[in-house]
Amino acid sequence: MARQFVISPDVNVRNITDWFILNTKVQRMTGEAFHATAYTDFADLHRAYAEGLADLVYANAADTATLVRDHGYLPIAAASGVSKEASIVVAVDGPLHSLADLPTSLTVASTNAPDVERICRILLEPANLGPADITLVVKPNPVLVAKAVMRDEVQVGFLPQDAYAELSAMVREQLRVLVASRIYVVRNSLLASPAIADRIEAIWAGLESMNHDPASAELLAGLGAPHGWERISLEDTHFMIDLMEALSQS
Amino acid sequence: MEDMRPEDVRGEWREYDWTYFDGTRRRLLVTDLETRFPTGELIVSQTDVEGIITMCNEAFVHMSGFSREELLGTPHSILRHPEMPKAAFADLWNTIDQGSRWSGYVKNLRRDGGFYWVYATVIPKIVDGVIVGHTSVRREPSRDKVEELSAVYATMRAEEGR
Repeated sequence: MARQFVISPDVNVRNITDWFILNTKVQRMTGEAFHATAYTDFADLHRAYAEGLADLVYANAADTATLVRDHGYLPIAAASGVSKEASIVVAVDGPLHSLADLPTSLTVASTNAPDVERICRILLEPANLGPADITLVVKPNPVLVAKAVMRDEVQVGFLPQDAYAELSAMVREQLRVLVASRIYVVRNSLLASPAIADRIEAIWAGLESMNHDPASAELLAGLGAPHGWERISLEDTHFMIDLMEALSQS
Repeated sequence: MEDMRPEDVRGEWREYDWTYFDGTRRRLLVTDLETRFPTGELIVSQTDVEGIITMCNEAFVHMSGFSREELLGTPHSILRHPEMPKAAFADLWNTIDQGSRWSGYVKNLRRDGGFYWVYATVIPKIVDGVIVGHTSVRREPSRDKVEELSAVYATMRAEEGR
């Protein structure tokens, strides 16, 4: 039976084919059959985790915490020099120009990406806006978050910065970035389940060889790792998890 | 920790002969110049179980005014501002020594005698069930909270006879 390689819905997938090419490389690295699934729904992804159908995972920071702390997953790598950052956007012709302009309660459009939501909620704290002051409307993707802001359905939108950068120029012209994060430590991680712990070194060796292979440059860029892969230790991962825990508002 | 030196301080200063919890003393030179927290950033650091800084990020270096080399290996209390009440730090240590998370508003002392306010969260770093250090994340505070806590801390200091 093939191993399962799962990709979190909040990974910015420009071209799904890139992930299947990486999956093919992983099969060569390990000598085992892997089946890749790029999930579009967190409920389906979490069901895969619960059913043990996730041997290799490209996980967001929130899921990394659960997988590493509760299920013994081990970190392999992360995109070198790439962190997850978020922006809070408003309508360009609207009345909101700074955090100080925000009302005491706020309607927000966001995708269900937990890392981005957590970062943006932190960005709103200086405006005295806590969890009870924010009404969140979940949209299926960043384009619909942007449209909800442009159409005044909500007052602000939470967007991953890479997704904002990829919105069309026409859409971006109708938005203003109210505040943007520069946190640098929240990142997606490639994790291995305990069942494939003995394959970690082989996978890392393969990823590292991609870093030095000019023919892999385009693929790496497509995977969101334009500077290649970086080995991450369990200690690095625990640090990121601690940090995410410190940022939780519960 | 070395005494603060007038040549490192910007602006008019007032002097404190400060005694830390472990009995060590340091001459503090304090001004009223505030450095505002950079919007969107976080100050991140880790300490060992004794409170010695083992890791810090660039925002920490920038906001504290110290170099990274000066910070690493130094007690985190080098940032302790004399206008913070002792009771606030007693609460912090009591909380984190029990393995719990602590959050609060803190006025920190810069190398140049100025200050900066943060909303700090400190969580224990636990390895194999043992606390081996702490991770501290500081974020931009609400200005309303800073005003409120400035008054609260002044009252607490007065109750401490300072």
